[in-house]
Amino acid sequence: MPGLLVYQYIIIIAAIIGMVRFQCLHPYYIKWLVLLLILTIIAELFPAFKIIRFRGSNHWWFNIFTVIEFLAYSYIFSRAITNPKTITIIRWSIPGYFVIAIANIFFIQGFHKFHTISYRIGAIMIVVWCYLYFRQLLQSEQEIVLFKNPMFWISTGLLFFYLGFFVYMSAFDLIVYKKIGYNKELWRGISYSLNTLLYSCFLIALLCPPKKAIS
Amino acid sequence: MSAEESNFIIFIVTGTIIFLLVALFMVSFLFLYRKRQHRHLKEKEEMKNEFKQELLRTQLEIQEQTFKTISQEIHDNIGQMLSLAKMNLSKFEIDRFNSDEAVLSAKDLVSQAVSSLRDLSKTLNTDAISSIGFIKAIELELQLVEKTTAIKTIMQTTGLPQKIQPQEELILFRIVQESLHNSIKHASATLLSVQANFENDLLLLTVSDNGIGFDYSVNNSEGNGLRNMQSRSKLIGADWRLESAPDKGTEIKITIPTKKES
Repeated sequence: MPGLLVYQYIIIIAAIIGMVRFQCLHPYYIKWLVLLLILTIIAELFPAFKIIRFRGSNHWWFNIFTVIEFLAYSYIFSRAITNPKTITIIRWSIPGYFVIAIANIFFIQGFHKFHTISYRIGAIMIVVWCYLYFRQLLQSEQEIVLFKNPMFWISTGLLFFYLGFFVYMSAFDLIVYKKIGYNKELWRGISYSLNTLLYSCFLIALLCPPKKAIS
Repeated sequence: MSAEESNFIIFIVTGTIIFLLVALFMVSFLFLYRKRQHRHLKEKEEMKNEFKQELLRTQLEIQEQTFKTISQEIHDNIGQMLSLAKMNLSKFEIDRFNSDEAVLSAKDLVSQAVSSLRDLSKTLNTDAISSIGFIKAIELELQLVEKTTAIKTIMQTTGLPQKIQPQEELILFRIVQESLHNSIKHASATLLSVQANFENDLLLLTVSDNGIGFDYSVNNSEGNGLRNMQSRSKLIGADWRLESAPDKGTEIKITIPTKKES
């Protein structure tokens, strides 16, 4: 496949591995990650082959995809976290975020402009879920091997990705408004490296050995 | 590229690096903490296993010691009583009309033997310690010492007796039993005393004899037994001290908290 980026190859490999190991993936909610990766392939490849261009921009496409992404990650965290109060907060945040994102996309920033406000809110939300999951791991009295824990890899990837992207996304509107030079290079530098890190972590998560059955 | 643009890019790159360092710090902290916790859990598990093994060893030692004492008791005391009873009953066989006294004596001896057997049965298993209580078990042990040796014993309890964990009671009993055994074997004592003092959520147990004593700092021949008692005390969170001097007897003091968090 010519013209694809390194991280896009990683997404494809991760999705294939996820599909091959779908039955033995543990915990069960990791299976949602495979579905999300398939969706990511569609989201990444369609614009790459210029399949979707509407009024000269594909921002609308990523607006839809990133909202779905935030909701899916939140759902996975709501399954991974065991504290009932936190679960309730995450579960309420899913429709809450959906309403905020829709309101922002359709009534504030517009459908054809990238939804930076709701993206930042979503990024903060995911960073908080990662923090809460890490706190759960810290407080757990059970024997946990972090390297063999898929959720540890997923959380690590997401934490690096959204924290790393936060400054750029916070300044995104200003960059576009001021037409800052080297914007594309800056975008590629940050986006490509963070995406590579994120999907590599997902790939490792999908390669984690299934939990041994208790005899 | 203008200076403003350049500053802007530097700001974004620096900010991104700082945020990535925060993420790195969080992951590293989690990793190091879990590693330490893993080590702690492993140590805890090892200690638990060590405690279980020690408990099992203690139970076996108590049984061994009890069997020895019982064998001696049967041979020296109950056996003698039953032999005497048999002799008295033989008299009854020879002269049936003038043997009331012999029958009464035989009856008395058989009663004593039955009583002794009942006492012995209480010491036959280690579960008896938890069922009859730690203090009562020591009293029975002292009674056995008196019966099987020429040594006098004293048991004193002060304060309101409080419950200790059954596993700890067992180990504590074994320490007392070993202390008594040491006094019988090595001290040439004529008096053995055990004092149990319950005070301020603590049990102070003192086992002392009036024997020949020894210089604790010089004498190493009993090192193993004493070290064993010391390590067992440590295992149940008790403080163990020994005071002894030539011709001044030996005193072992064990202090253990009676109320502990589970």
